[in-house]
Amino acid sequence: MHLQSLILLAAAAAQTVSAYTVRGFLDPTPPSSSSQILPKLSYAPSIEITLRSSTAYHKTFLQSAPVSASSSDAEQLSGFAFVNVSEGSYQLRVNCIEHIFPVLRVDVGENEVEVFLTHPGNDWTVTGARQPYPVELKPVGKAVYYQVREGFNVLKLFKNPMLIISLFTLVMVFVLPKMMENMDPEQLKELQEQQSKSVPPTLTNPMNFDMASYLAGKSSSSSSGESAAGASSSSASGSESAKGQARSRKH
Amino acid sequence: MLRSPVLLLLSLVSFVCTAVALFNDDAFVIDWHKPAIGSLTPSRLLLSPTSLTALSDSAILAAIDPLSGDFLWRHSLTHSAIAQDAVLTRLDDSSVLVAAASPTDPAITHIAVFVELNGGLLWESNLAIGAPISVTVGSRDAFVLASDGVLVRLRHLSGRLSWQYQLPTGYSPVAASYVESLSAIAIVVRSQQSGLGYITVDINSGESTSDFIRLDTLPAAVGVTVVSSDLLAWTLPAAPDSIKLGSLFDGSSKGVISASKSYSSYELSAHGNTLTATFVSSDGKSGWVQVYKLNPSLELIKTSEVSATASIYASSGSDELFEFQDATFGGFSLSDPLVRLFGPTDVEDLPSLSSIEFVKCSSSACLVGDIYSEYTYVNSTGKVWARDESTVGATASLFVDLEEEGEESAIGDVLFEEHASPVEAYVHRLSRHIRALNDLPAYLVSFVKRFISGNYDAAPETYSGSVTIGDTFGFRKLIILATPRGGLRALDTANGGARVWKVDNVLSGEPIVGLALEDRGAAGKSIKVIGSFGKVATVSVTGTVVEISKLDRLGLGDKIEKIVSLPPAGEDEQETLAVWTAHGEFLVVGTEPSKPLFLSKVVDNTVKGYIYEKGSVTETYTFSLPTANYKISSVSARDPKDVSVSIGRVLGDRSVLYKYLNPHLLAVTAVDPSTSSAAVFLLDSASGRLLYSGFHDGEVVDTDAGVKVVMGENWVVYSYWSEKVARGEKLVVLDLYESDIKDERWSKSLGNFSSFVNTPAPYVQSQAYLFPNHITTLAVTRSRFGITNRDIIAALDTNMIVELPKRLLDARRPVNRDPSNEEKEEGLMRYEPLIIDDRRSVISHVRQVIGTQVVECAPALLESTVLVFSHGVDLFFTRVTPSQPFDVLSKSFNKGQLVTTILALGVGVRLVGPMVRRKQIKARWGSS
Repeated sequence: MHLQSLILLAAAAAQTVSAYTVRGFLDPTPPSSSSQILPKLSYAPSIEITLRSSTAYHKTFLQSAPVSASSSDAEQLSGFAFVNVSEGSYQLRVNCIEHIFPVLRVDVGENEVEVFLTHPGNDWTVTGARQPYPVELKPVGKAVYYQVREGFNVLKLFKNPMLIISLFTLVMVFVLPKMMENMDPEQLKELQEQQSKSVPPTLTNPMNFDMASYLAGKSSSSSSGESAAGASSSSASGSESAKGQARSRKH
Repeated sequence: MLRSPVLLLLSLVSFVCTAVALFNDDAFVIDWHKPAIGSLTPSRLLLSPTSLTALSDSAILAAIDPLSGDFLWRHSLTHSAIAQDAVLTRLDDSSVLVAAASPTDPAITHIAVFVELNGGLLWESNLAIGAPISVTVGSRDAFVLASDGVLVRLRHLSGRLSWQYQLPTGYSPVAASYVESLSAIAIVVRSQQSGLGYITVDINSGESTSDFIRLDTLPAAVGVTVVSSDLLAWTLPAAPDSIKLGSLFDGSSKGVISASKSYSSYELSAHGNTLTATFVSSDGKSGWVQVYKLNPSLELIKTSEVSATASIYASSGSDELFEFQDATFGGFSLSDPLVRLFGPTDVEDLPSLSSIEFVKCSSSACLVGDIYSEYTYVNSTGKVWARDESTVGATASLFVDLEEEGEESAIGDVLFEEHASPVEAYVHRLSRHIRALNDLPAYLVSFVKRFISGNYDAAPETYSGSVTIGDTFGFRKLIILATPRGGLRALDTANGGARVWKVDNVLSGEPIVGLALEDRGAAGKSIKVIGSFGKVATVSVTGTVVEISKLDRLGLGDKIEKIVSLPPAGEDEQETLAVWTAHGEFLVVGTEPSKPLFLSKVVDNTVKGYIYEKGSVTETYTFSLPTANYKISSVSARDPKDVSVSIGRVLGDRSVLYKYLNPHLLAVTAVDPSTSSAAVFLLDSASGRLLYSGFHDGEVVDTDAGVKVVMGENWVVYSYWSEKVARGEKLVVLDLYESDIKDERWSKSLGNFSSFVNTPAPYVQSQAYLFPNHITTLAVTRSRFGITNRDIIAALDTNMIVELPKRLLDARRPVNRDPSNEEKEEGLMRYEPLIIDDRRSVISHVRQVIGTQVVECAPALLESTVLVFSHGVDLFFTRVTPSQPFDVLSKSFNKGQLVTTILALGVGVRLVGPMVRRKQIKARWGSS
């Protein structure tokens, strides 16, 4: 690529009459990304390169190497040249749909062409790093136009902790009674006793939990016996009375 | 204006939304793009069986795939070439050469060589030799003859200048041809003294090898064409029926072709020893062929009217002759007698013979261009493809709202029921409902279909059946474009911009100045087409010309310049449609308005105000620019259809800044090329009062590019390119408020706002931004009720169209500090002078929209959505939602998921229900 542009440069020197020719090329090596080897970029014919000051506007297209060069590489579009550029300070841009290129400052002087990076939004006198001439442009990245819509994803659904908790609970609802059934009856009784000691009777059955009395600070025993009994506590006495009531209703 | 504080709140809420990019699944679905290049001219068209390359009249060079008619590549050469002064030739098998006069300096010829296959540039060069006249190729190099009498030889690989030859004075160049046997270029020249002749120039030395060799004593020869490398043809205006032939080898006469009838045009092509002359008769409706043998002397072999029916003939330049009849295409071999190769093949949509503008043929196919800029490519099997290039440079465009489904019939019924007696109305209604039951099965089927697909915004299937029925959300509209050749094209926004109908030559030859929509209520809508010489056509929405009338008040020799569409002056009144004429007359088309009209227009670099009353227009004021060096660059007024729902802007502390909402506000921008500066003026266009002025002196503004301006509700945004301080495009916003004091509203105390009351000047807040690209056109979105935010749509010189939220360009953004909590509530961000080059704001995404001149916005039925349409060269359409699609379900809404969830829950309840019940019972019984 370098060699080619140098040859072009030599040709330019012979042709220059009254104004200058600014030459350069788009580097087809993809933006560096770790060690991965990426294929060379190919540039579309729709790419336009502009050189602009307040008084001049130049536009050119990517050059195709002469077709006589037989290698397939030669048909790649990459070089460009602005002919008959007069002295001055210009902004060089690449209009490319696919890639994003840096904006360069090109100063065409009496004897030489100087190229700098620019800092957008800064005074024109603030120049960035000096760049080689012929202008060498490397894409800084791929242009992103779209926003990806987040669709429905089963896998993502299962990453949701709420869903996992509810699924776990659901499984437990089915599995726990089975476990209880398989338990040794004595062990079960022990467990029930343990539970009755540790947990206040009102809280053992959330289905019939009397929120009002709980919030009012009434203990289950002092509240209306009927409701406490109805609340089917698993405490020994409670269950006794409940059985009694039920039986009496049966009669 | 303020309907309720709720709306104010709503607009505040809508502030919070920020613009985000186009969704990947919306791209290519909601938008469409029609690439175009514009009208073609046969002389700038290269056709071979495998390629088609053209430089259009709009200076776009394009390679078209002859199989599909799609563009392989396009290059807009508007910066370097004047198409009308251009020559396109093939340099070798793989490359084409464009030589054209430069638009910046007509004395410079710009020459560029492109590879036909991939559009790559091989070389280009600028030569100060005048406009190009003729290009000929010899020993692989290009020889360019230009109007300064200069012939140059350019090397085919590098474009390097080998030599330059200057014609002696007194000879003006006409054409150039490479004569291989002489190894020289014959420059055909004419001179007042010597007549028509040629001079030969050696291709190696660049020296002339002969003096003037005379071909004709009269210099007035017309139609001078190089038929083959050493054969020249011309006619004399006195005897148009005899076409003279001369040799560029020895200057001898090669005979005369006598046209057997009078013709309007002819074409000669030589191949081997055969010369074919194809003529088109003077009425343009038929043609004939004369075939000659060239050597030893010109001899007529055949004068053929190959078929008895009217036909037009075209030669391929080699052995084939093609014949066009009404709707058929046939081919012959140029032997004696003519042998039919194929056909006549039926070709659909072939233009009628009288409307064919040109036919250009390769050995196997022809490109037929008609006078309305439509191009059909035909081969022996029939039509291969057709391109409509008529919409390039459209003179006017119009959005036509379509009726909602069933609206038409329902209106009449409802009106009847409203006015009839209750019993009658009830019976009518009942019978209507019974009648409607007929449609129930179809409705159910469509309902289920829509339910399954979940696609409510898609085009209903009735589209093909009816032109005038829109969709539920108002995304389907018709776009009417007035073509530069006096036709109309109606495009369907919903079906990828498909052409719904076309009418050519609406005003019988008159160019169209403007279009307006006439809404006659129950009688439906129609389109008024106004021509430059006063013809007014009424065209129905379905594309039939209803009537053509003439504006009788148009003075003799006067011309219509511009049409004006004014909003209704009062209730029960219609829009006023009027025209400005070249003589400064103001004529109302249709009903006269009841109230005086205040008008303004740009005349001779000034803004003039007028009052129109009782049929006459009186000048009221003239606004001149500060110095004579200033030139008006652009003018913008607020779209009269744009509505404001909130009259104020609620600040973070719940106080209100009242917007300056003056319907007569006019923004005028000007540039001063002598000092490279720009200026902006805000006027009251009714009174001519200057409300604000801003100057950009010492910024080295690109005055050729000018200033672009657009006006929204109470703000003006303009852009220009300048070198200082930071180089690039500047985007300036001016926000206008009634007062800088919060909660102060003088327009209320005045009762009725009037331009002629000396009101305080608006309080203008402004901020400037640096925009990364050059803006060529600005527009503003307009939603149906004006609740949705307004976005700015800008067309860029990078062939993109971007959407910028006005919220981003807010003059209240705090500078050099972070926004306070109150300002954050207002939705203000810290001021950043640079707008970053975010491609996610590009609504045209990967499409290359070339040559945008006009961007138009129209509201959909949905408040959230605005339809955006751009034209110029390419046509591009999309829809945008400046405040997000708040009134439509998002595409990510998954109906299937919702239904499954509900079903799953139902199943769950069924399963768990008995268990819970059992458990409860067990618990109550205390059994375990």
